[in-house]
Amino acid sequence: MTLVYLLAWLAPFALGASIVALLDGRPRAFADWMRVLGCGFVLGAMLTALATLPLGRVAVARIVPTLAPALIAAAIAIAVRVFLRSRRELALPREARAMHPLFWILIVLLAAHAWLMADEILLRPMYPWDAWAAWLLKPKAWMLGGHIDRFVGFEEWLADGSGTLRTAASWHYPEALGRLAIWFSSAWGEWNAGVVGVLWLVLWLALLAGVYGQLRALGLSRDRAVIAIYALGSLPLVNVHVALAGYADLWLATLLAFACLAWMRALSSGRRTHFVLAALFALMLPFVKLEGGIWLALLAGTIAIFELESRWRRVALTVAPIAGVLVIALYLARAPFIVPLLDRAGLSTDTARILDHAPAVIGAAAEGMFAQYNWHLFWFAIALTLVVRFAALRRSRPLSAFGMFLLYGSAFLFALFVLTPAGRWAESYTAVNRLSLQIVPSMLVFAALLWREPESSEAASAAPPRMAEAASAGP
Amino acid sequence: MVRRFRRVPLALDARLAAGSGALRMDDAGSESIPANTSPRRSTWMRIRVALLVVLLATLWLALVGWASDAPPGATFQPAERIRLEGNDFHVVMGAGVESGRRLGINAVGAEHMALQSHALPEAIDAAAFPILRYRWDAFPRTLELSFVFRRADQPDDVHTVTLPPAGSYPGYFDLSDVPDWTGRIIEIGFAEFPTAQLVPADIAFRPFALIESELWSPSWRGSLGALGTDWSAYRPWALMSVSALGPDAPWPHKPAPVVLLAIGLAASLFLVMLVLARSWRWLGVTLAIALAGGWIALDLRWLGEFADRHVLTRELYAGKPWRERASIEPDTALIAGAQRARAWLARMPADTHVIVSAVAPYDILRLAYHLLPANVAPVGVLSNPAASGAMKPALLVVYDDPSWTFDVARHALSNADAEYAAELVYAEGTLRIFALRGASR
Repeated sequence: MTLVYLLAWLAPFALGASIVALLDGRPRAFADWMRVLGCGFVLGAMLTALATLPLGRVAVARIVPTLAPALIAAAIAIAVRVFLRSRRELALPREARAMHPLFWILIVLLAAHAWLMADEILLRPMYPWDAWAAWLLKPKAWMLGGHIDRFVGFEEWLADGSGTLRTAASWHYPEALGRLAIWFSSAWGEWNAGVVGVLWLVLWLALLAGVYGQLRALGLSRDRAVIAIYALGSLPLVNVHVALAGYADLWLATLLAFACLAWMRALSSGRRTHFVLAALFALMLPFVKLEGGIWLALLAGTIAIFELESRWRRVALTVAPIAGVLVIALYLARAPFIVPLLDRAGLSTDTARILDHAPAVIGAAAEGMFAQYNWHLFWFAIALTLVVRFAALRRSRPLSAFGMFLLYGSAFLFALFVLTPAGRWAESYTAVNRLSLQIVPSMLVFAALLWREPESSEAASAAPPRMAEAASAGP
Repeated sequence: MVRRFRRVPLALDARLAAGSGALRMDDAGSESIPANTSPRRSTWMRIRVALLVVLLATLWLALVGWASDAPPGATFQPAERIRLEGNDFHVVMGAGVESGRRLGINAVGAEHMALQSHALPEAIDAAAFPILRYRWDAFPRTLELSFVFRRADQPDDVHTVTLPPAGSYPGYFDLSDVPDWTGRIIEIGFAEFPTAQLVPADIAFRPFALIESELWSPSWRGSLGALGTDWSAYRPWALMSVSALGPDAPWPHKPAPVVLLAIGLAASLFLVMLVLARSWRWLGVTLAIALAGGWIALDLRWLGEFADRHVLTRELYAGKPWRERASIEPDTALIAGAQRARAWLARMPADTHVIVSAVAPYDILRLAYHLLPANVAPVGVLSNPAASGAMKPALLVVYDDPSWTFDVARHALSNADAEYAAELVYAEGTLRIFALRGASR
């Protein structure tokens, strides 16, 4: 292990953590540190990946030495500002009640998951199909080729005489993960699947830490927050995406969950900085995977609707489903004026045939959710929570907004599989669970927040700004 | 400190616990005894509890029967069994030696496969013997196990079905889940080969032995055994594992324990609520607790399965340096071809365009991955209109793809779609490299 490799880890952690601390407040309690480090690593990793974009066709050996000092310097500057500002803030009282000893069993179980995943990652060469065929093909080509070459379409590649352009079937996929992989690989000095795969293990740890910290900040008790992260960390398909590292879905799922949690903080506290944090996470979505753009649009649309005045919000909430149904009806009828649009979007398929397949697609999706080994009892737990805690959902405006986003997201997945040729991926089980995975952590934190004790739900988040405002208004 | 943890671990919302018929808790947290208890009420309660026990036993028996597909009228033990010792089978492919009543398999045959077979003295009715029981010694995790059989109506066809890998205990398999298991069966056997797309074929084999095999008539024991084997058998990693757990194991499955637990717990608590006159709120709270317990039970099962899968990873890769581990890939032949191609390409300028062709998309993508750092593209690039015009000279690496034919006299390389001016620059076994001169004709 070299200094460059240590810097490669330090830079994203320091940058992300300092930005989260700047927007969320200086960490003081254990849960704060979990939140800052968990959310911070994911944000820092994405920013680090994007920071390589302006470098152009750089030699891979120069990536970390060029960027890491600047990123760490920026992180130090932000951290100093956070520290100076925090001296004027009052520390919040900590929860006096300790975690019940029985819940250490859940932590031990999570540790067993982590050990298995870590050993699998470190030992096995890159295994899953899209890892070597799509997501990590580019960084391997860059690492072995020595430069970050641009990936272009077939036509441009065929006409290229310089030899500096590359191509692949997945040339148009977003490159954030590839750039993150080359960041760590180049610092390591050679292409090593274990070095790249470790990123997914750290992502899993960051997801659990960030979710724990945010749930605690949103008023969930320590015991319930531990149950939530155990439930999240023990989901078999989540474990598989870590152990057989290389797919982008868990990154998307983490960014989406962190964006939603920061949004909930913003709605609960009214602090603009939490909105900024939510926006930062949401804006990263399209850089990870193509459907990230759709999740961004859905989240932004929901946030916009809930920021409207109540009269306009009611109008929007009435018009949106009607418009959705109308668009679907026109699509299914293949109305003449939208056929060219469908053709351009690659949806020029016989919609009657798609509808014939719909029952089989719905059956396959339901089987993936309820009858396979992917999710333990997650979907049953969601259904039970909605029934048992429906009153809590109706009482909370932030959670109603969150629920609305998840409803839109579920409708998007339903429409994607039932109403488009993508249904064949559901019938073959090749995509339906992976796309569900993208929304599962968000659903889990939504369900966890519904189990908050009523008195703690809003108070925990509302306290900091009042104190901060009082402090800043003083001499 | 001690008093601090006397609360219940999961402090559920107190408003849910209170309700008509629910257990009432006093301020100290202890259960208070209703004042109007009487012998008559106590007797009635005993009757209700007895009724509940019967209902719950019936429910779980019905659920397990449904999940295992056990014939309702069948006996617990099978009425008929056809028992075959290991040495009743003869080796068709590979090499074996009889060791007492066992059949030891010491080597594989063509294409790394071993096959053992037994011609039945007289044909049997498939429907009369739907349960297969099999027992092996030291069956390796590196191999996939299949059951093979011939039917009297199609004596030239061999039917194959993947079996759950045998562990240290006997395995059971419900052949009634196999559509081809019909009519009269004249021959049965087992086949073993390296687990596809997971284990390198050339290092997969380890010696093992067939101890015994039985065909059973319908019985609860057989059906329950098949259910238990399906739930507990070793499931190797597969490319499908990142998409769906369950379908990634390539044999016909019984309903997963997830379904059984969810239905069983919900129905059980609903029955308790009805019989013991509990409230809907009580049902909600107890369902939440039961769900947590069920989750942990499923998670322990998953940890076991995960650890089981990981054993093979350790067997193949542990204790080896990265460079050696990186070369242990399942597609041994393709990697050898890629190594030869890479060695040849090393003589060319690094920026040379290299196009890769093979029959299967999997092979094309794998070859492209293993040829890096060459400037590679999949063969689909040639279907781009630019390939007929502005295309620069490129190399075409053809791996085990007979659809490309080369006319030496005309210096023309063609497949079903196009023809190119080209030169054959390398050929060895299934690997050919052509220099494409640019435009197609």
